[in-house]
Amino acid sequence: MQPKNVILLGVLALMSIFSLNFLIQAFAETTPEGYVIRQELVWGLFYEMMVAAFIVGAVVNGIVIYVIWRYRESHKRNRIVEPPAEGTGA
Amino acid sequence: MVLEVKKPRPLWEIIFSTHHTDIGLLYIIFSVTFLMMGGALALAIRAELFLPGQQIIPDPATFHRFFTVHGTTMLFLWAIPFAAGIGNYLIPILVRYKDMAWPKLNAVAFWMLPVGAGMVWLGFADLGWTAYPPYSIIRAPGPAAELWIFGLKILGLSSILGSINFVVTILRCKHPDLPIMKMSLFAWSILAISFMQLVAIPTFAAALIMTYTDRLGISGFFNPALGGDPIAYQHLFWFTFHPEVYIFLLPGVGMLYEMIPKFSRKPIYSYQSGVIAFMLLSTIGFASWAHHMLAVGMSFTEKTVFMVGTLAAVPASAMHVFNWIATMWGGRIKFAAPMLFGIGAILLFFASGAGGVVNTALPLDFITHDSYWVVGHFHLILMGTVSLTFTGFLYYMFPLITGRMYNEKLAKIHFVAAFTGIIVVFMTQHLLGLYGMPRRYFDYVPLEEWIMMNQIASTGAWVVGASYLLMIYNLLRSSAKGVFANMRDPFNIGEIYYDYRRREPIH
Repeated sequence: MQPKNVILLGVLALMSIFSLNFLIQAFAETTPEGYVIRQELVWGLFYEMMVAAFIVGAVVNGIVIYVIWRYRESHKRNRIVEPPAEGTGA
Repeated sequence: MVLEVKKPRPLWEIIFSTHHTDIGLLYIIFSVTFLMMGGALALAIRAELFLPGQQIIPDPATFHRFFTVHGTTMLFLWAIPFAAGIGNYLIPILVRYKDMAWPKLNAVAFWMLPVGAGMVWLGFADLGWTAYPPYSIIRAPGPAAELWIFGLKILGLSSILGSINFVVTILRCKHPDLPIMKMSLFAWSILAISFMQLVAIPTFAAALIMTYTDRLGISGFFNPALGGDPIAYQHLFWFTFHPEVYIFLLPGVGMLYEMIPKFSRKPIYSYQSGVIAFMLLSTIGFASWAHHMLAVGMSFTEKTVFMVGTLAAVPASAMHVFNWIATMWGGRIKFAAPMLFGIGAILLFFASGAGGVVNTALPLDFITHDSYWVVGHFHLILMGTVSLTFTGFLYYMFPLITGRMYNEKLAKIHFVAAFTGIIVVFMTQHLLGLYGMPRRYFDYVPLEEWIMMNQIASTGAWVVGASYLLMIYNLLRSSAKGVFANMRDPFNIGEIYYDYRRREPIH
């Protein structure tokens, strides 16, 4: 396995472990006060995930919108310019 | 069908035909008809929820009947038959065979649909489209429930017969000069969903029989009073119907692979990654069924397994999206109506997928479970991605089917209204869910936020409904009075259209 793949797998594994730990905390049996904290954790996680989703969504959908704007047939760089007819002196 | 314009045939000749284009046409007409009927029920539901209290639907039981038949119709009488119709039309053309492998079986599979549909609509059951026990086995009134159960049995059998026909046509009747790795990606999508249906549907067929015998009182599979387990039904149900989500989606993905390269005037960026992504999604679809049931009390380990199984679909879906973007990159895109619908579907595909990732994260699922968030999420995928793609492909196929062109301006108005309306309805429903509004309720607490968001959602739904009425007008009028299409290149994109002359040697 190439070194960059090892690093990538390592990062993914660490991310998984951290997120599992977070989930276990969120699900842990707890006191009434802890229940409130757990609710805060869950909403915090929701907020973080939605921020991540909006950022990724904005990037992906932004690229789609850029691509359809830049490569539309009516874009000035995409117009087919007829070559001048021979013998016109143009 | 293009010959119908040149040489009109009596209606009965099309109805009793076994030719794949005729069967395909019947499937398409059938599915679009039920799209409008199911849509009418949705508009009634939205009218009821426009304000708190009783509005136009007389009582909660009738409201339950409305959303049961709406869901059943949209999934089994619109999405699946439309994909089957396009498959019937195109698969023999794309694999270069004279017809489907078994034309008579093909006709039988189609003609089972009106029977099943009639049973579902005549019964007008109130089970919910999931028919969860114990309500479905103890309290749900008959014979509506029985009609629903046997209607679904017939629709399932029709899908099985259709799937067998597609698999055999693609794998056994494909032209010997056409390698499987050169076959159209739309054909790959139909092959993938056909295998999925063959694996998934028998489980639900068994669950339906068990539900029926439980209703008769001769068994107690799902009846807690007789030692049964209602959760077992949910496992059987979702083992079929989570893959079914991909069965709705993948034909749409295949259609996008037909349209995007043609309207971008570029070959597909990575054919192989498209094939691999189809294979991955059709496999992973079976690894995530219990994410619909994270709130039923499974162990933490089970829930984690299904959460990870669900998230595994993300990379495969992303492969398709990046393939489409890379195909469009550097192209010369023509914004005909089919391409607009396709791009709209891609934009909403990401939005609906992101909502799904939130649903599958265990703690978050408890916030969103059984709320309007879930309604918004699955409608965004089914209307925003699947139905928009199907609609675009209907416009794309219109010249092949009728030999005429639809009205491009009306089609573009349809796109703008449908796209905007879909965002307004289903994004608002996500927010409604976060504000705590439960799904499937006839009435709701008159909170100012809930009333306002319900009114926004209802307005968006009516805009979508009106846009589809415009489509029906456009297609009906254009099929009779539209200008004749240039059948070699009806969209004037410099690409070869389908082999529209294939019927000529047969008749």
